[in-house]
Amino acid sequence: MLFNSFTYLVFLPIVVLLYWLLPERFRTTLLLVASYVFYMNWMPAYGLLILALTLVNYALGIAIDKHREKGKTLLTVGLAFNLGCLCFFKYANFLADSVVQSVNSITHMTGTQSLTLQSPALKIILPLGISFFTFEFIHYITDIYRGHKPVKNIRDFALFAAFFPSQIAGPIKRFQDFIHQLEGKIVFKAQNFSDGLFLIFQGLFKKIVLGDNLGAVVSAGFSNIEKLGTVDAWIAVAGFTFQIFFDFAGYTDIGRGSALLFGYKVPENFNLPFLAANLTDFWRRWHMSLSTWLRDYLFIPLGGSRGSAWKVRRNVLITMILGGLWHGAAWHYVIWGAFHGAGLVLSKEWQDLVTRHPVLARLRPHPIWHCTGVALTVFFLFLAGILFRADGLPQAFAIAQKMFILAPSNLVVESFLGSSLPLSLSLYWIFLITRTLLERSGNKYAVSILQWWLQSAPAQAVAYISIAIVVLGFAPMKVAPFIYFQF
Amino acid sequence: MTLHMTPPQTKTSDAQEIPTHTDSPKTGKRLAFRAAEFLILLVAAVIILEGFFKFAGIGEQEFLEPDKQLGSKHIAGKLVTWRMEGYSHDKINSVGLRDSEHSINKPAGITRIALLGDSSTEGMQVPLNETYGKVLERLLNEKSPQYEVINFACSGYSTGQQLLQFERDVRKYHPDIVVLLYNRGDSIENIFVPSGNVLSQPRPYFYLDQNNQLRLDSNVLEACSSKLKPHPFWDYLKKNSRIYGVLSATGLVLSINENGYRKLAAWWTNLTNSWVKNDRPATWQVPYAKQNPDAVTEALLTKLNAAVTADGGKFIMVIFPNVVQDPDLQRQQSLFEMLSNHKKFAFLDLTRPFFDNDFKSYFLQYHFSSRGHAFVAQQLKPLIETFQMRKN
Repeated sequence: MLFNSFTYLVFLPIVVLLYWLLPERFRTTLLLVASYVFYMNWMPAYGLLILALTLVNYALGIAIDKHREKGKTLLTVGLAFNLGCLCFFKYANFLADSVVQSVNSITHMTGTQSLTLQSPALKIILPLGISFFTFEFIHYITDIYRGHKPVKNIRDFALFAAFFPSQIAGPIKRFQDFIHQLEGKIVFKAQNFSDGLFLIFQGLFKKIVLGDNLGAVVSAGFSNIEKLGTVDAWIAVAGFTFQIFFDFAGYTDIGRGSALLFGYKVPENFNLPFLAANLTDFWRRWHMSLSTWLRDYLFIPLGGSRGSAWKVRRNVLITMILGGLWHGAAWHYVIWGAFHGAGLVLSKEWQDLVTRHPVLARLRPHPIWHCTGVALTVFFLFLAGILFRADGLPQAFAIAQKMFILAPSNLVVESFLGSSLPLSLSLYWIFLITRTLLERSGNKYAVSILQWWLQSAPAQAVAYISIAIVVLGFAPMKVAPFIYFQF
Repeated sequence: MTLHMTPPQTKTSDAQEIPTHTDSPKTGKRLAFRAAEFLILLVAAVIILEGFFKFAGIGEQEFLEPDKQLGSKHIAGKLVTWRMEGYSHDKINSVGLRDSEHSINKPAGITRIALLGDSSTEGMQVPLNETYGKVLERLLNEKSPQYEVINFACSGYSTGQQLLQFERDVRKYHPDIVVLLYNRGDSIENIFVPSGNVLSQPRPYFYLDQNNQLRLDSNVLEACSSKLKPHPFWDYLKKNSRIYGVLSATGLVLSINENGYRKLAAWWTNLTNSWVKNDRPATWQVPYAKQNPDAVTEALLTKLNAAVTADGGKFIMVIFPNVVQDPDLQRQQSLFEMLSNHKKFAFLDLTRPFFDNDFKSYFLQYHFSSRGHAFVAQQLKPLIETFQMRKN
């Protein structure tokens, strides 16, 4: 079920209504059933997969806690089981194709074409969200191994694993936070409800009005690379960087907003990522639940920042390459990860150099220094975005080349100017600036307006109806799935 | 640059819980105040949204209104901003054509070409000047102004509707050449196919009687007559409200993309049909045998060709490969080619030329892109010039 679909529009209010009408003791069960309905609406058989993974990890958690002396073995079994499932569903096709291609390349070079292999058609359908809930399971059993107490109530654990607002594309939850909320008393709070609705409408605006419309412009560029002019290429590349942000941040907002309607808080995933002045800072602000997961369950176990400089660099590179591979079973994701890894290493080296060099250290606090850092980081993200979006390396190189060769532009420029994007992006900026000014202003009128807004249910209702109509007005004809659903 | 937002945080107090007990007179007063606040804000929001949408050209996609004979027609004089597939921002002309203004009287020395068709010819997805009608006119008049092309096409029209439109609206313009761009689905749209209890789209249908004579079936139109009557409130909204336009377009998009919505809409249509006066009774039976869409379409084309020829004009039928690549189209192609040979009208099959060129770039999603329109015009030009040379 897509968050931006008509089915979800019907599903969510029904579940919210039932949730608050039912006695408290039934609410967790209702959410669990709703989460399975949500998941099985896509492919019923894979409901069994998530159920099986839940049962195995629940049992592993209990076993690790009970038999601490065999904890390492049990953790290894658990990791192998979870990663095995992930690899089978996500990477089996990729590995088989890669092996066949390698063998064929060798036979071609050695002139033994008679041994050419055919790619096996494994036809494995990737279960939605498997990368996300597998990571949650790995976090769970690892933390139990590290000394945390396991979840006793299997229903609570099953809900942690299947909670529909974060089931398909995160944010990757931490069980301690989620179970703590489950164990507490959930009461209806008007503020939670209002904030939840705000996040949902904000997410829909980001996804449908900005992300999907940008997607059409980006597609026009990436599917006609040979016809692109310089400005066309820049718009397509920059457009993709912002498309993926609006798409994913929109999804996260809708998920977080949906969770808030039930009184639950799931972690934030983005914190002004395009304000980052360097790549290390960017990864603290972008897809935060994944980057903290990679830090805690990959980078630190590899050795983290301990050891020699070379070991730290190696750890960063391995973490980012595996992070790239996590996004998708294709070489361009691996290269994207390596590119970010190399960028992080260079960024760290540069920071160290600046710290050591007195002249550079004096320049660092200057606003121009900061702005230059932001611009360079965004430029790096544009280049990395090409690797992420392109079908393969030849296409990535072709579009990157177009960015730096002067040529007249019209294709993407026309597509962008003919779309509603100039207006909707302006609208978004005006909204952000107005809100920030209202929130930060000490002006008594601004404070009164804000107070009135926060306390007026009619004002909020009218605002949300208006935003919904604006979203529908700017919506493109075709509903696009969320980009991160494929991961 | 800020690209992230968090929900507003309360600065005054912590979350407000729903009150469990209330003082009734105070509650009544408070509710009345809230209701008044809601209404005032709603009116303000409607005014602001209408103004904003007008400025932005949003919600201006509504361009059809009911027509008692044809089922639907363009709203004359309506400014349409089309964003659902491609983009255009043009006005429907004063007589309801997606075209510039044309006088009924044909100027001396001018060869007049009438275009019949559906959304593919109407070309709402591209600016008016880039539709194949306009491009064709420019191509033909490159040397000297000898031609006038008038676009009568309307979204969703079947061959049957095009025939009725020719007799009612086109004939009086005295076209010398009538071009019909046939679309893959037109054939099935010509006949009435009962689909459960849901009324089919209100349009005139055709059938062949026992003597193989073409007959008009107005049953569905009559059954929907109350729906096709002008309604002052809805007509006003349709012509003037951008919010109405947004909601109406959303319904269309959802009906294309969302299976759940289609089911709900079908249920709602069934329900509302039972409230409508003059509606067809549930026991209503189609008073003729099951129809063969090809045979009916052939009869319609024969009649249209005869009507055009009787007025001294030439009839050209054009087909193009549909972007959904329906395998049934090939069978229809052969059928129409044979019919054109038999009835002596021109038949232009653009399937091969389309496939021999950059097929994908000629379409947006379902309709012609500007390149596609230009390509159709280029293909039509030599045929029209041949006609003119023969005439001279």
